[in-house]
Amino acid sequence: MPMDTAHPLPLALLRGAATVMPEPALSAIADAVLRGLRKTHPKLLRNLATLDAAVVHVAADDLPYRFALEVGREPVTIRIVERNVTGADAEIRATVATLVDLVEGRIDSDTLFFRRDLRITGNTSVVVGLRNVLDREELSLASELEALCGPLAKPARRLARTLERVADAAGRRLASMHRTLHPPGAEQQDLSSEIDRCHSEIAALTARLGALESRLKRRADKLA
Amino acid sequence: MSVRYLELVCPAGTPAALRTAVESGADTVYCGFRDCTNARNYPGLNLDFDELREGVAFAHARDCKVLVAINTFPRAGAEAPWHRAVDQAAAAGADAVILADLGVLDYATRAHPQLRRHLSVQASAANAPSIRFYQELFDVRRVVLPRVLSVDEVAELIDETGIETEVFAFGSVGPMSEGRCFLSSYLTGLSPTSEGACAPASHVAYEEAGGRVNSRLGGVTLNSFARGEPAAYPTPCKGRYVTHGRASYLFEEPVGLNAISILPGLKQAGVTALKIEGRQRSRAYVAEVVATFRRALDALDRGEAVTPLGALSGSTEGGKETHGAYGKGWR
Amino acid sequence: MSIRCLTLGPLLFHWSAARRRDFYFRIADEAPIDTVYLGEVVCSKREAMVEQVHDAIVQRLCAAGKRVVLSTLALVTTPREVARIRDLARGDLMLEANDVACIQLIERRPFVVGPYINVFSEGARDVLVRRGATRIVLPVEMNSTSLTIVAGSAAPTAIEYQVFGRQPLSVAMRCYHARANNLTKDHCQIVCGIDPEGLVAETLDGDELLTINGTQTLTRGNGVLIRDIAMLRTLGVTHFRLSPQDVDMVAIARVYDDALSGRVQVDEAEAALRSISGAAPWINGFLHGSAGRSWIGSSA
Repeated sequence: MPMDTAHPLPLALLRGAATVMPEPALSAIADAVLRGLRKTHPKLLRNLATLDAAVVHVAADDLPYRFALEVGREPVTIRIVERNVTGADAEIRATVATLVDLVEGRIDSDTLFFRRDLRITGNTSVVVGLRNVLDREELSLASELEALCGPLAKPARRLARTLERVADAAGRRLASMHRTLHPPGAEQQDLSSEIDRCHSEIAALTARLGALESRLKRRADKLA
Repeated sequence: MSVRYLELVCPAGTPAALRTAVESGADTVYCGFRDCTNARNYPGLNLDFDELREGVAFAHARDCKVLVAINTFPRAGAEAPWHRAVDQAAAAGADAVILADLGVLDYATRAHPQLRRHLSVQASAANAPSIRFYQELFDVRRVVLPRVLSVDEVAELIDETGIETEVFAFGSVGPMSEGRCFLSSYLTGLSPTSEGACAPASHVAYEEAGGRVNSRLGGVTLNSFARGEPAAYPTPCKGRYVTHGRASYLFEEPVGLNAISILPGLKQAGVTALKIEGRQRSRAYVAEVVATFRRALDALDRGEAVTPLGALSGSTEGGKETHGAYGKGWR
Repeated sequence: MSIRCLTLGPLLFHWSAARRRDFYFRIADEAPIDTVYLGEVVCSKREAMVEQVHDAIVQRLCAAGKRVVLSTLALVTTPREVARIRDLARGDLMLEANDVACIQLIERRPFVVGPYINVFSEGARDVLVRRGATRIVLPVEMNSTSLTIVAGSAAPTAIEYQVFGRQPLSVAMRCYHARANNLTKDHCQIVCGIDPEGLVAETLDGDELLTINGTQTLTRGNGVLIRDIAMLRTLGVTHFRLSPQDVDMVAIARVYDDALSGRVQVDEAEAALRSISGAAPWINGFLHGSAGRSWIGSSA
């Protein structure tokens, strides 16, 4: 099972888009994805509407915005809001990669919770409901996004493949770093200092990846 | 006594998880309805009647059985949903129902004598006379044994009763005698035994303060995690308490049960089926755990080496694994 | 004159043989109690330590006109524990079954269903009555709505409910008393005997929450249902259980007897109890369908 491999396409598109696009355009995309899902996964939307009425903020650690999902009503809506906006009934926080894996059912939320890679505050019931409702569906954000691109699907795929290579390289770099940090048979190091080191490494890699993505995006725009 | 084959019984919290379990190598899946009639009554989880019927068709087409857990205890005057659940399980073509309450067992025995009855772990039958009681009264064909017995004790029970047994192979470590633990309702007013949710999400809260995360159930602080410290479920039995001025995991550490390295012993003991716990987990968990156990069981059948602990530690509570009561020293 | 509906539940804590003898002798001589439950519910390792006073206690209670019922283990796993219950079932005294194993071993003689067997519905009740149950002690988690139906006028059996004492919340294989004292269950040194009312477990922020009693977990608070006994009786409860605590149980029994017989008003009885019921806070949430640890002030 590819449990830990990042899913580069939506991840890269999301992160790439989020770093270069203005908020209203992103909101429009998110809303369009939701409308697409209404056709491809009607049960999902019905189930989301039957949850307790709540506004759930989904905040990716590595995005400048957060998603405000309003469930428990018809129609279910999604908006992009500023990072510092408050007032949600519940908040879910993780990295973009983790969130995409969660939505696509590639990783178990309890495992993330045990590892503290997923943080939840506020109305826990609606978060659990949201998780379960999503897990009922076999979703692919990649195909939903691709469907949106319409005639632009081809260059989008090309862009995604390039980004995939970048992400893979980053993944390999992380894996080798992990091996350095955990030499076989060695004593367990102090966990928090390890995590701090990982965080700074990841931050550096993310910054580099971000720069690469913007460059690629510019190039793709020219191509298109 | 030894059996030829260990049946792999896998959780299906949703229709998608059911398909995942079947495709990952389950011999049998178990699921529940979307209400208080089963012990995993969480929002958004479980199957309705149509989904169960479709799930049964999907599973049967792939030689896989479907069990339906109707394993909570009805409140007086409100037994109808439990009776209806039994009727629907029969109508959907389920291979067996997993029951705990004496009244529901009695109803199923009378109304659907041909429908196979399994005794849920919630009935807490941990000895031979209890098992015989359920055999004699309700013709129970299989017992899901409580997570409190050692492998030797499991073997003795099988020898003495001759009944089919299903034992937990992977999932939570339940330190309390199951089906009769009132800790969660002591804190929340909602009963796991009747309403089907231990530590109901509606009463769980996490708050972050000073770099720590505190978990509360019904307003009571159950735990506090430092940065990087593995988290536990917000159930009272996995909380940290202070006795003699010292904070500790008084009941159970955040640790998951994994019997993968003692499968030969369980097979030797005469166990019929291995249960993977976790209808509340995502289907990614189902895929990984079921496939890992499938490989381990196939290897066992070929006489290959035992699968060591560790392969699934990423999926267990606290990231740690234990043999629980199967091993020595747990008590 | 006593109204013969008060019972004394089995002693859940591990008291020494001498202390037990003194306690039960005084109950025999002075307490307005009808039925006394004896026997070990929590841990079979305790039984041998107090066996020498058992017969004397039974004789004294019987001589005083008390009905004696033998309570059995709530969690039975070893062949030795099964054999012990089989022996008890061959005796003259009625048994209280706290594990279904006991019902099987009694072989269709009359018995009492203890509060550790789940009877939350009329369906479960009727199965047990058909099997010979003459009295059912309802689980402490039972709320008044369900109780109305299970204990209602059609109930073909006597119904008992605990109205005083810490309420049992769970039983386990693990001994938490041993764990709290850095001991293992196999080498526990019967450390539970140190605490005559169990060991208090606090939350991380200092809230006294639970009582640890060997393998059993009880509420921290004392379940005091003095304000509810009139309602319980109307709903069909026939017997009222007092669970032994480390307080003057004879005095406690007198207050309940006075209240049940109408000799004193409930406010007066409650005030009397306040001064003799010990340091544990009062709780009554389960009966009122609330969190068990809560206290619902005035009777609903």
